[in-house]
Amino acid sequence: MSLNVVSRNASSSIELPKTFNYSNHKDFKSAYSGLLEDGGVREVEVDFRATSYIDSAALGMLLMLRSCAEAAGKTVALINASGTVRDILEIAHFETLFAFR
Amino acid sequence: MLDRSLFADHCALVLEDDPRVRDRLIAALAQLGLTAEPITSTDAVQDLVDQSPPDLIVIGREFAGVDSLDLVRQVRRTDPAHWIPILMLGRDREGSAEVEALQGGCDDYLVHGFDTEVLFAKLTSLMRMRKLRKFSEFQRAELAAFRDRAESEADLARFLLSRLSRVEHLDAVGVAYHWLPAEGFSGDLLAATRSSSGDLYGLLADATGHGLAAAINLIPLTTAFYAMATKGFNLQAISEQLNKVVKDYSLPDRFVAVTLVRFAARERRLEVVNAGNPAALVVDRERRVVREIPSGSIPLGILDRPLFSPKVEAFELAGDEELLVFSDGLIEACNFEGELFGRDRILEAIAEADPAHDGLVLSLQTSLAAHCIGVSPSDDISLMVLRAPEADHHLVPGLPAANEAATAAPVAAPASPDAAQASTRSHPQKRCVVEVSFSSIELQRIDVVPVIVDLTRSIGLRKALESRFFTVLSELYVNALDHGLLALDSSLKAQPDGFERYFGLRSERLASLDDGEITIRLDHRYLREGGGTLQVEVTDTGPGFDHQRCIRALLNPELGDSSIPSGRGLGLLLTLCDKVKFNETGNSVCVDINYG
Repeated sequence: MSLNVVSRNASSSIELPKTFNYSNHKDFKSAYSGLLEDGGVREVEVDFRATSYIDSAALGMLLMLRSCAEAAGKTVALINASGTVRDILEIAHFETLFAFR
Repeated sequence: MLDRSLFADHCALVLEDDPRVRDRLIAALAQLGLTAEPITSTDAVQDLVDQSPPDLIVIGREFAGVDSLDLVRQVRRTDPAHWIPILMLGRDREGSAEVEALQGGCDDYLVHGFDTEVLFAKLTSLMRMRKLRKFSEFQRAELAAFRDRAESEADLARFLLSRLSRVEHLDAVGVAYHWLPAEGFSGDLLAATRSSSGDLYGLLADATGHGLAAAINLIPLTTAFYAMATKGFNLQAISEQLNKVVKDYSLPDRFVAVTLVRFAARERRLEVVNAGNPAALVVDRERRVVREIPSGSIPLGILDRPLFSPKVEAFELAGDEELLVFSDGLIEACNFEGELFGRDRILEAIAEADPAHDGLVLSLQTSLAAHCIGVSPSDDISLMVLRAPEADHHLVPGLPAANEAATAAPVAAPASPDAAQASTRSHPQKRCVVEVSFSSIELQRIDVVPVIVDLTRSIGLRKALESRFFTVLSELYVNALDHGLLALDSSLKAQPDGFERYFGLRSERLASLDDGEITIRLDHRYLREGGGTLQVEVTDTGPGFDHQRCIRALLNPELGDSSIPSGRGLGLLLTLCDKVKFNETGNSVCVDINYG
């Protein structure tokens, strides 16, 4: 399944699928690589609105995005996470690493 | 259009009786760039095919007086990995002749008097097929080699993890557990050990992923855990070190969720660091969950030291509660309808467990098996139940009965080294003296007791003495730091929730400690073969305390002096040491431990 990238002004969001796990690895990486190379993008938003399941590999992918974004001088925000997904992000204390909205 | 690259540097065998046809064929093949070799007898065919297999065979319907299809069958019997395309030439224009040739193992059929263009087209098609066959053969071999490598890596991972998890260790320290890896080898790890101070340490780690990648993260992790836990380091120090090793050894998208546990046997204190695992549950004998310890820190291997600050939860146990820790694989184990095992089923299984030590594990195992019937787990599942170790009975083997004279009437003399030196002069002895001072900077940063015990071990402290020394030094050090420098009041611990408040206040005051110093002086004297005295003196720069009143109250509980602290620590010192001396002010204590 490919991921939708929606851009507006200085921020662009990557819309995640229903289940976000290692099988999305390639698509996710190519989605964020494109955004990080784009000089006009200051912040990358990862949108969980449609997502109801993530696993630890997904957390790993978010960490990868975070370290690449840091190197590119950009920020990352996790948006619209709810339910189990939110619980998993909170158990891992990702609020200390990413902006949550 | 001819693709000459299909033919260049290839060779063909031509088996044709009619010399005119044969010569025409050879000339045509040469035009394509093929080296063609004419064969005139059947004897040479098999040898040639075996020893230097040609890339193409062109064969007449009859050859050297035999039915060529026999030769074709013979060639086809050779290693299928070396497939050779075969084109048959015949005089018969009937379709049945072509069917016979193809069914007999040839790849194509051409009638004598053929058009050169048609010959070229058929040969091109055959050589293209050959190229494809070669390519797929190459891929098959690659794949087989790759699978062999993957299998040997899996073997390695399995071996490493079985070495790492040291299940025999878990059994030895009396920990109940259940461990079910998802893929034959797991990214989950259980470890437990007793420290030299008699405390029980436990670790449940869940690394991202499975297999070798996960195992590699877990190697430095367990090594560091065992090394530090056996020496009795505190959970803060252990988690910081574990975080460092995971960070050092893993890719940026890899991390490890851990739950670290320490049961301090003597104090009946439980400490837990939960970094990224589901809440650990404290369960009492009535099988009620009396406390939850949710994840309080980010998993290991993500942040560097100043940013990574593990939260240590500490509390006192009321009775014989047990601690249940588990990985997220337990919650997420699915049945065949994709329904999660979930928290409610976990709580139900806990409520139904019998009070025996393995009751919790058995009940969860049974419930999990019923839920996941017919489904193999997609994630590693591990759970572990720890209960407070039996306190201290192993701590004092061979300890002489507490020296009444020395303990009942502690000498209120300055604990100066003068007395010791005087005795040295009159009886020449071998001794080793070490004095170390720690300023507030080290007190904030270092877990001092294990560091000193380690030092003492490396200069020759006997193993049998280690746990006694550890306990004594811990008492002396905690008194000097908590009461001497941080002015904490032990009676706080007696209040409801006082334990948490005590430790909260302790870390606050320690973090803002500016002045203050603790000096530890060890004087080890060898008295005779295998025997001696270890003198430990701990001095702080605090105001001291009224030790005489404390000791009086401790030795005469009937006086009911409730205004003094619990005195548990002091009582322990009096039991474990052969001599306990305070200075006048009460900010320096000197104890003797005799052995041998």
